Amino acid sequence: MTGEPKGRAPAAFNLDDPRLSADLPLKDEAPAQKPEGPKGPPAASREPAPDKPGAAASSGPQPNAKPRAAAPQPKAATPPPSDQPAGTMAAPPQKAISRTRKWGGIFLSAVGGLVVLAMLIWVQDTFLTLLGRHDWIGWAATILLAVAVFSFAMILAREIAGLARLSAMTTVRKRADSALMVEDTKQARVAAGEIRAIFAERRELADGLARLRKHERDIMDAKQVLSLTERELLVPLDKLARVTIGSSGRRVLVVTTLSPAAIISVGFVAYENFRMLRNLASIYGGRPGFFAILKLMRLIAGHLALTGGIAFTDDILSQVLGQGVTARVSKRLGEGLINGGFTMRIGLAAVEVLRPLPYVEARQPRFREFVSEFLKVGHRFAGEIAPEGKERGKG
Amino acid sequence: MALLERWSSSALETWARAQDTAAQMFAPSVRLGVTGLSRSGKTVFITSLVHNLMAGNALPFFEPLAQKRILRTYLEPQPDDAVPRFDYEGNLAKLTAAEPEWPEGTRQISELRLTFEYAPGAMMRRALGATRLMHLDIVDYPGEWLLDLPLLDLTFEEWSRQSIAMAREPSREPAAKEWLAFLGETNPLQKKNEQIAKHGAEIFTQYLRKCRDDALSFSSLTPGRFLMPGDLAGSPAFTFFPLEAAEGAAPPDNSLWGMMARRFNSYKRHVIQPFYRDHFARLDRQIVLADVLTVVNAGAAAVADLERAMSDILGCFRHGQNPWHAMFSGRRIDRIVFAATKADHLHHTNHDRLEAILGLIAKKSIARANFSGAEVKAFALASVRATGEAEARQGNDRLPCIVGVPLKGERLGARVFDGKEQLAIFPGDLPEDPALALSPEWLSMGHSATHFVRFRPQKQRPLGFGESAVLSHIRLDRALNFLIGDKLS
Repeated sequence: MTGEPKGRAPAAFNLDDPRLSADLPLKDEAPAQKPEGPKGPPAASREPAPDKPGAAASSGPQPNAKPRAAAPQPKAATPPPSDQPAGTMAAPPQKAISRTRKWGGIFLSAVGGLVVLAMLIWVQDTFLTLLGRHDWIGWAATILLAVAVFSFAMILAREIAGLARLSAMTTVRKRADSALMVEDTKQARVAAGEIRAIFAERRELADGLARLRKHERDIMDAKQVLSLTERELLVPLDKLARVTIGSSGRRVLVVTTLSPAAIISVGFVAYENFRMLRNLASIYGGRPGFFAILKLMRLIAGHLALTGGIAFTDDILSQVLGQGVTARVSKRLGEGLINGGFTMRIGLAAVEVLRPLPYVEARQPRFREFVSEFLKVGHRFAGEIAPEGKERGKG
Repeated sequence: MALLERWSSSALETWARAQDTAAQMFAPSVRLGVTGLSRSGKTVFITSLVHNLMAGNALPFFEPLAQKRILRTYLEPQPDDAVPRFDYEGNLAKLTAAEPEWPEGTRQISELRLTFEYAPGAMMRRALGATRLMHLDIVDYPGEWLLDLPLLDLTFEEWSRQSIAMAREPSREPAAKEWLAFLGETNPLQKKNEQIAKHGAEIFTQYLRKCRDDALSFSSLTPGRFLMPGDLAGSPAFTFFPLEAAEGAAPPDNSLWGMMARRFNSYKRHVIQPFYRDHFARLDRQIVLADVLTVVNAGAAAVADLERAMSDILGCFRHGQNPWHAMFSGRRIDRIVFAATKADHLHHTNHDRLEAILGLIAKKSIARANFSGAEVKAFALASVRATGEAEARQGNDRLPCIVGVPLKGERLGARVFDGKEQLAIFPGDLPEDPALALSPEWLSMGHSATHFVRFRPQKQRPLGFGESAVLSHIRLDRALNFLIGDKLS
């Protein structure tokens, strides 16, 4: 499609011409995606792909977290120290840390390896002796072993699938970003198709999916393709996410304020955050496993490290004010507000990481808007989106 | 002289305006002018626009609809009783028939009123409750009529000089040969003679017609009404032609020159001025359609001519933002869309190039409109989409094709289409640089580089229960949103 009119004279083809590949209405993505497979996206998708197994299997002490964090998230592309959430932003300190850590890491790995070996020998011995017995204990042990192996495989598969979905979402996001940047309709359509595939089984989006399918063929501009996808599929999900984040924040606020012991509130905050992340990931189609959530947390930490500073100044005033006044009323309530607020900020960052599209047409939610959500005591059902419906006209 | 005539009609204008203002208080109306030179797709545009607005099922980027704020859209009797109604139903029937055809083109001015019942978008207004009404008066008129407006400022002698100079341009000369020969034999000072006037007007009209044909596709042709006379055909106001007359001198009585000059003036008074006063001066928004592809097909001279016609047309608009005293001083057009129609005859990868070419053609006009405060945008759109898209492999290359049924008699290379077979056509690539597209070298390559074939409208899918026909389009909703979206907020 570059401007070389010389070799490309106008021509007519019969419809049964084998050289012709029609992208008629709905089959649009299927053929478009295939040829793309080896060329375009892999450049983007390969990078996160090989680290999937790595992340699933190890996620342990190795310091090779840097390339992994860099690959999937365009915005978090530079923050290597993603396992140090808030502080350490620049590159140099990370270097120093990795050097001092190296020996410790090697030591730990070696010791870990020894322990694993010892365990393996013990397990092997036990099993061999168990299996060697030809009585009912031996049979029971065999069956239990089979069940254990099978279920472990299933868990592993689920975790890997969860991670794959997560990185698929970040790939889609990348593709959508680049399609918007260079206004490439084809890429945008591929991205839109992938997003539709992610949400294909969601019943609550069936309506929007049907509408998308109807318009899809007639929309010719990358931005419009994506903004329509966003409007039909993501805006309802954004509302859902908003309610989820709000209710988590509220819960943290209440528990922190009322809990009799600090340890309880700490535990609850951790639990609630975990739960919120899982819910958010499910809302945006991630269906994550445990490791996927860990990875998500790391991405979020990276994101917060990058953007936190800015967002913090944006909202610091209200927080200081809030704390100043409320702390005078009750120290606990002040703590609750801080904890709840932070939970919500994590939620917002999670949305930013999870959302398969950038904000094309919809407005990016700001922390301040959540304060109203926060204080809305009453509706705690995540599914309840009716009240938000009215606010749409504003945006 | 011209100035005087304008002033004399301004009293009538003011009265019309006062009536408008009174009506505006109750239910505001927006007058949308739809124009474009002949065969640019005005009729199809309006039909598709009205149908899509009423069906409301295929305009995802028309914001009021996307925000679900439009409750009802319906046709109402139009306010101007003296203007023919736009034959929406007939045109729609043609487009959605079992064997769909393109409707016939605009021959005269026509109007249609569409009424929206909507909920205001702003919080404040919504708090006031109640739905609101807005009338959209769509005024369809031939772009050729606009070409006449500059004549208001010309005397017969000035106009004659321009027309004759234009006819002598090499690109037009073949078509003008007969008329120029006639002109050579005619002495402007001879005694007036109705037969000569009639004969001269006839061959002059023939020359204009030839210029407009597909092969030449010229656009800048005055007087525009000669090509579409309507009910005044044959009257003296339509029976004149330019003469080689000396500027500044007064024509002697009883001469042919005097007769022509008088008729030219009555053409201005009885044809151009009423149109200006009753229709043109009352528009709020304007869309100018242009069939850029056919013009590119026809070559460099046609493109240059379109450029000239466009800047003439746009010179007539009094655009700019409505000041508070607009109700006394006349409305102004504050938003204009230039649309390159029939974008579906081109693969979407080429649409932005088409837009760029249109932007370049209308560059001067856009700059002027921007300067006077009107917002202007250019779109490549298709009012009714007649094609799908496909890709064809050719060696290592992939040719972006469009799939549709070419109109009967259209040709590509040696192949003549029968109007029945569905084919995938690769029309060639528009160059990336719009300036190149308008350069004579590229255009002179003719059909070896690009050739745009015209297509028949697509057949409608069988409709489900309660479904209304879908006229699919390209970017109609975005153009519409720019044109009237803000009036419904």
